[in-house]
This record gives sequence, C-alpha cells and structure tokens, in this order.
Amino acid sequence: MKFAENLTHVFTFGEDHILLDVNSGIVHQLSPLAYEMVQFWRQSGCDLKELPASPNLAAALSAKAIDGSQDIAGDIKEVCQGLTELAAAGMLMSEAPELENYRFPKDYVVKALCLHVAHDCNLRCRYCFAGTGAFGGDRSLMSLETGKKAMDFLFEASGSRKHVEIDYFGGEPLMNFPVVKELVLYGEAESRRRGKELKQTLTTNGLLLQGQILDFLNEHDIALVLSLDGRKEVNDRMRPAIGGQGSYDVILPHFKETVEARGGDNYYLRGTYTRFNKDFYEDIRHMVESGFDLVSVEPVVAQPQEEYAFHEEDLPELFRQYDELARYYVARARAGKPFTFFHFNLDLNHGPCLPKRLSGCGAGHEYLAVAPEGTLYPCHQFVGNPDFAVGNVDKGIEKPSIGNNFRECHVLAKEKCRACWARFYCSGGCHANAWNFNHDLKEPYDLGCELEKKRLECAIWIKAKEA
Amino acid sequence: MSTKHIKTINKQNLVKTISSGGCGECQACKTSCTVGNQVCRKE
Repeated sequence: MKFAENLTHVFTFGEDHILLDVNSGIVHQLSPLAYEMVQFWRQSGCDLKELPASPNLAAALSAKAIDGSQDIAGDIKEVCQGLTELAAAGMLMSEAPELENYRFPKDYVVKALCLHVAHDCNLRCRYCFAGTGAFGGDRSLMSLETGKKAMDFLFEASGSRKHVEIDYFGGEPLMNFPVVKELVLYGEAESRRRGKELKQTLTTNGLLLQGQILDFLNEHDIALVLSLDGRKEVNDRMRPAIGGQGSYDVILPHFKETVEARGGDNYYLRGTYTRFNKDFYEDIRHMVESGFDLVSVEPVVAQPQEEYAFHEEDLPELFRQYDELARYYVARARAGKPFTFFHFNLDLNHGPCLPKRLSGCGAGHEYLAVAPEGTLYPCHQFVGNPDFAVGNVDKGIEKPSIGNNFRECHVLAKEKCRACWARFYCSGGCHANAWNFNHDLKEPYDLGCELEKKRLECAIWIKAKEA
Repeated sequence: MSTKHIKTINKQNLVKTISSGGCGECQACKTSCTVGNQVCRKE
C-alpha cells in the first residue's frame, strides 16, 4: 500500500502530529516517530510493508523521533503494524467507491427559509453585503400577508420533513417587529397543527433589542444571532449608526441584558473581522471576557479593491491568530471556563452523514430566501439579483432549473474540491462567494478555502487535546 | 487504536453513513458556510 495524498491529511500543530483519514473522517494522533515514518512513507513513494526494511529510513529519522526508544527496530515495526491494521479496518487510506456514482435522491424538499422581513436598517455597516439593508433596491418591509404565505409555502414544500426552520433577517428585522411578532405566533400555531418542529431564529444588530421586544423573543425561545465585531474601536469603525456615531455603547448593554435574561443560552454573538483588525483574536477574547460564551467571528468577504478586504499576503497573520485562539480555547476549557467558538465546533462522533456533507448548505433547493415582496431566491446573498429569482410565495418554485443547478454544484462536482482534504467539512464552500468572485458556482473562493482549512485544523487539534 | 505511537481519537466512520444517512432532518454566520460543524439529530 502506497501513501495517497488525496485520501489523507497530515499536519502539525505545536508539538502535536495529526493524521486525518479523509473519507472515513477518522483522526489519529501520532508520536514523533510515527509522524516521521508517515512523512518518509509519503515522500519516498515506497510501499508500507517495505518501510521497516528501507535502507534510508533510519537516516531520515530525527533524534527527537527516536529519543527514549529502547528498541528502535521494534518501534518501527510496531508503527508499520499499526498503520497496516488501521488500513485493513477502513480507518486509513479508506476508499469510498460508493461516491464515484453517488446520486442524490430525485426529489428534494425545502426545509428552511430566510425571511427578509426588513430591507431597511438603522446601522450603516461599511461591509454590508445587503447594501446597508436595501439589497440594492428600495427600502421596504415585508407585509404580514407575505410572511404568512412564505410560512405556508415552507410547511407545504417541506413534505414529510419534520424539522423546519425560519430565520428572520434583513436589513434589521426588528425594524418590522409587529410583523415578526405575528409571524412567530403564526409559525408556532401552524407547526403544531401540521405536526412540524419549527425552529425560529432572528439576526439583529441589537439597537432595538430591549423591553417588550426582548421579552417576547425570550418567551418564545427565538434563537438570536447578535451582531458585534469585538472591541469598541473595531466595532465602531465598521458598524456606525446612520448619523456616523458608533454603535458599541448602545448595543453592548442590550446584548448583556439579552444573554442574562435567557440564562446564557440559545444565542451566538456574531462578528466580522476585516483587514483593519487582523489581530481578531483580541476581539474574540474581548467578547469572551465580556461574558459571552457563545461566539462566532468570520472574515469579511469583500472585493479586493475595498480597503478592508483581505489579500493572500494576509493569510500567515490570520493563521497565527487562529492558532492563538485555539490555544486560548483549550486553556479556558482546562481552567473550567470554556466557551464555544462556532467554527471550532466539530463533532467527530456524531457529525453529519456523508449525504449531508455532499449536499452542502442546501441553498437553492433545501434553503431559500424570501424578499420583502415575496420573491424567492437561492439564499440571502442572492436576494435582489433577478437572474436568480426562482419563484415567489404565491406560485412557489417557477424556475426549478436554478435550484437543480445549485444542487448539482455539490462538492464532488467542483474540480478544486474533489482532491481537497477538507471536502467533507466545508462541503464545497459558499455558492454566493463562488459566484461573486468567480462568476462560476463550481469555482470556489480561494481565500475562503484557505481560512476554512486553517479553522478545521485548529478544530481537529482541539479534539485531539480533549481526547 | 491506542498504542505508544498511534492514538485514534474518534469512531464515526463517514463511509458507513453513505447508506445509513440521508434522512434530511438535520439543520450563526451567514457568510462562512460550513457543514462539518453541524450535528446529526439522529445520532
């Protein structure tokens, strides 16, 4: 058995050596000797069973690898035997011939909608993909009638699927709170009547999150995504109010009250980092040390001419920041003060099945966005682009070819992804990013790929430290 | 496997989920979509 690059990923984090078997998702932690032997196996091109007798192996091993060994020949043999056993058990160099001709089920159902209840906003965030809330059109609010039709469409289009989801989005959805409130109640009643489990989420900048609005969202168990970018100067540079003043001093107390009122659960504090804060680890630390245990911070996605956009030369610094964050994550957990970082969430024993990993985010077929007037789009980032309008809440899907196209752009249909070790974790990346940067749904956004792979290495390392 | 040189840290084998998975009942960022950090409701 020869080493196959497209079936494995080997990496080092600090002093720890990790080997991922890509198809099975099985992760092995290696001793320095096992790591150097795997690297020799990889670089020499020899067969695994020839490894112990290879005349060049001993010379290739460092002092660190053989340090403390009483019987180096025996240890080498043990490593080879271990690797051979893992391969025989389908946990190393595993093949997945079923994927060669894998076909998705013919019929699919919609299971989530992003309701754009407000194409208006009370902030003027500089990086907003929604064009400060209006998505390139007029500022508008969704009517209750349109919202109810959207919900009915979801319940009908979800078929026999039990779990369905609604996200109230914008713009700033709380600028249309009377409609949100009625839709939450309608969703609860209709889901009960139809035997569905409905999860409702709301993404907010927090300016209006107080008083009766907060009480209602807490009483109805609405999951909240709370937008804050970290330290005051970082947040206020990118997230000013309409008059240009910062938003941090207004929002932070609202978020603290919100999280306390819901017992520290069912929310994410969600930020964006840009080229202006390449030291974003400090922003995440600021969030955690301000009392927020559930955080999610992502890199801005922006065209390269924007001054806050990332470039390839920024990657080494961003990688160092993720390394720092991973070490901080482990240190906090060991000190009994754990926190959750969304992109380090990785369940290696109960993660999604491969069919789910192949289908990706579901945009265009399982997941749709609804504009205020009722037009359906593949996801929130395509809203306002008439070329991607797939239908409306009155008539349903009118252009199934668009959804089918998204569905066929799965991870194995993308040339760059097919041989990538992270293919079953990122599932091919974001369709909107691929379109916005490359005008090709099958051509992933490179910078996003590199950052995703780094986050994944950190997440796997954390799991190894926890094991 | 747990030996002096190789420690396997998880047991879920994704290849086996090709036939056992796909029920579709599965579910912060809005810009960095990832699937691997989800959890299977059934499992």
